[in-house]
Amino acid sequence: MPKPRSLFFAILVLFPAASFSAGLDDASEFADARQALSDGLPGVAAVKAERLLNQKGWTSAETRRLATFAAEAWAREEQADRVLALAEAHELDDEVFCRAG
Amino acid sequence: MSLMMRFFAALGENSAARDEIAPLLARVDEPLRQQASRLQTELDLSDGKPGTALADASQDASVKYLRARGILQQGQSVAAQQLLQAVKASAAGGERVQHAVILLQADILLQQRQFAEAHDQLIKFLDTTVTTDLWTEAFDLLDQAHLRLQEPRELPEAVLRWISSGNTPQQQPQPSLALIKATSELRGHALFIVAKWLVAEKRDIEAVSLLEALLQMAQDHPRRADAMRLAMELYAAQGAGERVLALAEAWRQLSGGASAMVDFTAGGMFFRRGDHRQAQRLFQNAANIATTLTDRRRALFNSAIAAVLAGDFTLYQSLLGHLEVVTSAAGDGQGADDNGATLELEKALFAAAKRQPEAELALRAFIRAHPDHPRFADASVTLAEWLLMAVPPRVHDARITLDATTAATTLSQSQMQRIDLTRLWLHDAEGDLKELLVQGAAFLKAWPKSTFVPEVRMKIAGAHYRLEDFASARTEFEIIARDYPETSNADTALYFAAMSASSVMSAEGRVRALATWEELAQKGGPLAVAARRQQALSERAQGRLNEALAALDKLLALKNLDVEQQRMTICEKAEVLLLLGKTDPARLDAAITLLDEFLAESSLPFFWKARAGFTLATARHDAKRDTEALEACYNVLRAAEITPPASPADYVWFAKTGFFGIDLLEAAHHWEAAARLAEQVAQRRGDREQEARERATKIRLEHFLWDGPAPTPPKVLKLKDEAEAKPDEPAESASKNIKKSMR
Repeated sequence: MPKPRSLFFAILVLFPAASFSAGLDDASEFADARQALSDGLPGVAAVKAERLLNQKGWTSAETRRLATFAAEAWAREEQADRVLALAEAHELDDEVFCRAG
Repeated sequence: MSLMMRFFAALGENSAARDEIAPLLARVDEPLRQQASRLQTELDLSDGKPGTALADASQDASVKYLRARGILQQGQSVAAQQLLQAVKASAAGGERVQHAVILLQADILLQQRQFAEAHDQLIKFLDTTVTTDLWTEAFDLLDQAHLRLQEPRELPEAVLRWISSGNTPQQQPQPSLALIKATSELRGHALFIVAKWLVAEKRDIEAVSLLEALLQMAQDHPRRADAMRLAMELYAAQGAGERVLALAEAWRQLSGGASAMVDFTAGGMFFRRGDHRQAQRLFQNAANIATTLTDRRRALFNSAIAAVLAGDFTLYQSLLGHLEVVTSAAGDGQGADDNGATLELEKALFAAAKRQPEAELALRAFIRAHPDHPRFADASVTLAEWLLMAVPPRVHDARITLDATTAATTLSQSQMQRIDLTRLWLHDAEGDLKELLVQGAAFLKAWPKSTFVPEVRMKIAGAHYRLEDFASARTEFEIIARDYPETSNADTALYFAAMSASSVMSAEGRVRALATWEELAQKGGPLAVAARRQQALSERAQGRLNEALAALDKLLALKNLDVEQQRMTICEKAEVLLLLGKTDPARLDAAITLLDEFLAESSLPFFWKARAGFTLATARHDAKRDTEALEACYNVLRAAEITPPASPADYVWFAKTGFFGIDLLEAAHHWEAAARLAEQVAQRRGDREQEARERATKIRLEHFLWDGPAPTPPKVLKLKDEAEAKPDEPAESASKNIKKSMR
């Protein structure tokens, strides 16, 4: 069982910056989620991202990206159980590392 | 001669009829002389002079009938009834007298307010009489009796049967031509009376179809002109101007070609319906074809007024010129002045009613130029009202105007009442409610029968209410609702009677208020929504949350709820669910779902985003979902960046939500985010701006957060010297920020 703290740092370091899809970037809710994150409210960002994730119609790449974003936000919020729940339900970027971290 | 005489009598032209009778009264031919004498007695009776009828002691049935009418005019209905009963029992005088006796008996029952008995007697008469000259009179009486029956009234089965096939004795296998004609006439009367009753029930479309059926029947039906007139009224109300004009044309044909009377009447209909342009055209047409100068002047005058109300002032000037010419031709110079002045006044009154800026000058010009005009006071009072309605009210000028009016002219009772009523408005505008109460009571004492009494009572009741004398206010409002149930004030009075009752803070008052609001809500009038909302507020204030919720659900089910009312009701419902959620978590979920759906509307104004956002944050917090609660707060603050709070109400909800978000972040020990949120709240101008700034500073100072914007130092700290002494020390960024803030 990884220590939560180490998991957080692993995700923060390795959060990917590539493979964005246009559909997701057009979603104003996603912009709001990213804004919340940059405003220092990762919990709010995570809630928004998870709500988007629950909507239908995303490509697998978008789903993965959203899930990873939400995981990162929960990690910053120090909510390890929410990160793990996302990891269980979705494929995350660098998931192996996350779990291992 | 006799025909002419009866013709004039039937038209109500009694003096012309008397002129025809006079030579006959001197004739040697006894039967003719007697007939003329009875007709003269009848004319006297219709002029309200029973003397001749009472003086004739003849035992002839028709004379007894006339004597009974005379006795009735003297108010002795029992004696009249006995005499009529005797005539009826003798079966003398022929069918016409017997029919007249039955109708007079029904009339007596009506006067004795025995409406159901009169109704039954008339139905029986009409259903058993093959034909009579008195059908028009009989149906008129039946109309009066029916409309006085207790509601709900049903259309009598017999009358509907007459429409389709005539009455009972008219059902014959091989009817004669006379019977066919009689049946047709009865059917026409039945169609007309049912149409009138349908109009009384506001079933205009059905009424019109019956009237059209009547108009398709015999061209000489005695109700044809009445049917046309009623159909024109109904079509005018429906905006079917083309059909009104077609009927007017048919009516003209009926009266033998061009008829100023038809155009004048049709013009009046359009005028009453507010179609002033069409009315103006018809009045002008009536003026063009009028056969007398009086009719022409009357039509031109109306046409000029219609032109003013239609806003066509060029045409008005032209018509005014015509009017002066016509009046001069009639040799009435004073009449021309009066007409011109009256039209000038109408124009000014029209401008005042439309709140046009030129109204004041026009009214003052009339007052200056026509101090002796009979409607001088109307102009003055309208000017006073105009001044009182100015923003801010010009109370002093209004008082001077009213005082001058009272002093300068001889006033009619109605004008004096209007002045006194306007003085009540004046006291109201001055805020002198106690004087309003004194003067209001004086008005009621001086003019107990005035048509302004309901309005005065409303002013008195309103003054009591504003003075927070709720017991007196309630009494006054209840009197208005009870005594003037048909006026436009009745529902308003009932509503405020309930408001007063609930403000008295007695259990009886609250129960009564709830019952009154329920009554108003069920009536579905203009106050239904407000009544239902008060019901919900009252239940909520008493902690009866389930009842409040039920009232709000009924409110949301109303079809005439406008968008803003709907938004307010949804927010109130969510708040009640939130309160119920303290003991029943499922209600919290319901509140959250309701608000999520509400906030999904993209065009929501900021006020509703903030109010609903705050309630959603509270509901989520109560549901132990603090991160989501924070999200609701954050959404409100984000919305404020796009559409900043523009009103005090916007700011109240913005600040409440912002501070709630700060509380949530502090509770989660997210100090940096809490400070930033407080700073975000502080950026908006409002009465909690400083509080937010100080909160941010406090958080930063208490938790050593030095990277944020300049905090406001507590006043007791004197850091200036230190800060200036060490301007570049990196570890002391907080001090630098303080220094910046102090600069």
